[in-house]
Amino acid sequence: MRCAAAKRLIVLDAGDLSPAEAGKLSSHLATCETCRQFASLPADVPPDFRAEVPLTPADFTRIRASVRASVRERGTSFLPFGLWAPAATAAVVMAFGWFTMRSPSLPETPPELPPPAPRHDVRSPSSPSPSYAGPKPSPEAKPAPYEMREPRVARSRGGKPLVQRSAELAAVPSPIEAATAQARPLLIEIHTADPDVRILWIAQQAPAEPNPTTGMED
Amino acid sequence: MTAEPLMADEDANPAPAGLAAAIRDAKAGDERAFETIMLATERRVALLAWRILGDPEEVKEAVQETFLRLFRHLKRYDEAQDFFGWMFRITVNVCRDLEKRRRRHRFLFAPIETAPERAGSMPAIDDELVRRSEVALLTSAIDALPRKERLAVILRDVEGLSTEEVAAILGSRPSTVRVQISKARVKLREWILSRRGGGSR
Repeated sequence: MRCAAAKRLIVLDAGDLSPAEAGKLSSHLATCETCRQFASLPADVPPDFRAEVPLTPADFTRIRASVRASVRERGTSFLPFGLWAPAATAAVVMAFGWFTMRSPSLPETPPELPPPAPRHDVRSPSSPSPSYAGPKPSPEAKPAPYEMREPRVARSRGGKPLVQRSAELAAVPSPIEAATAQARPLLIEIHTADPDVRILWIAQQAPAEPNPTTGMED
Repeated sequence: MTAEPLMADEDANPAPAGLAAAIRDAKAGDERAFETIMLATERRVALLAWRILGDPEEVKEAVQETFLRLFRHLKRYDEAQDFFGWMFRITVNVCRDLEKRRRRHRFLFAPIETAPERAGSMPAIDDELVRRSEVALLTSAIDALPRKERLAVILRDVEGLSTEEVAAILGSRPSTVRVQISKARVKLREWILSRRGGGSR
């Protein structure tokens, strides 16, 4: 056995040597003074090798706080994965529920309409003089706002609204009412379970058309 | 070395009744349980990182990154496994990454005349060794070992793990670890001999 090979066995723990290796090593040591000197050296690594951590308790506190902040910053929550879908569903339902509660209530029955003006066909030779009698109706004309279909109110099978606003709540203008009254856009932001996906809903009342004759808004 | 009998933590952080219970709760999403795990293990993580890296600032970074990875992969942890072995594996990987970054940084920013010294041969740091105590000298010698040998000898001789545990942490075979430990110890003893003037090379 050569000295280099013997030294690699000398430094191993006794339990790590096979019987054959142990036998070869002891016969080499019997004849080699250099390897005997090598074998008599003390332990390889001092027991106090970097035994003290150079961090203070304040350092550890900062590290823990930093870990918590990083976890939240990355959008990772401690919520178990299996609860993500129910939590997201509940959030969406609550958002729409809130939105329905805050939406302006519209009258159940449309107001009384004035009798329609008589129609005049200008192409008819027997028609009277073209004196102005209100806006000219056209077949494609949109119905007046009060003729629009009923407001979309969630209803049960019995026909009763599922969500009804209380009198006090109705007196409070909803964010939509407040925003549209000032013709400002209203931004509704819905957060989903995925931090990269957000639903943005911008609502704004169309500005009033200026009167072509006066140039003023009606 | 299992998770159930919690390590004795000698500083002010109170040791919880059972680390295994904290691990189970943290896996179920309990934020406080994860805090408990950090409190119970941070010193051991820091100590290992300190022994591998030898730089306090890098140690802070290593501890933080280790816990972030621990949190990210906690659900994959098999509770039948040794928790500290699993955690040490993460710590060693984090330290390896930091060392790689440090090497790249030194390669890019070290002055030209000192850059070749990164080979880290023990005679090259003799001037530095003269000024330090015996333990500090040996520490430098350990730092100068090749990375794989250094990790193996630190985990085996300083952390007191078995060859099989070291192999599991380093992702190597026990026979490979045995060779690495053997080579590292030979180098250290030869260095001691050379310091005593009885060079045997």
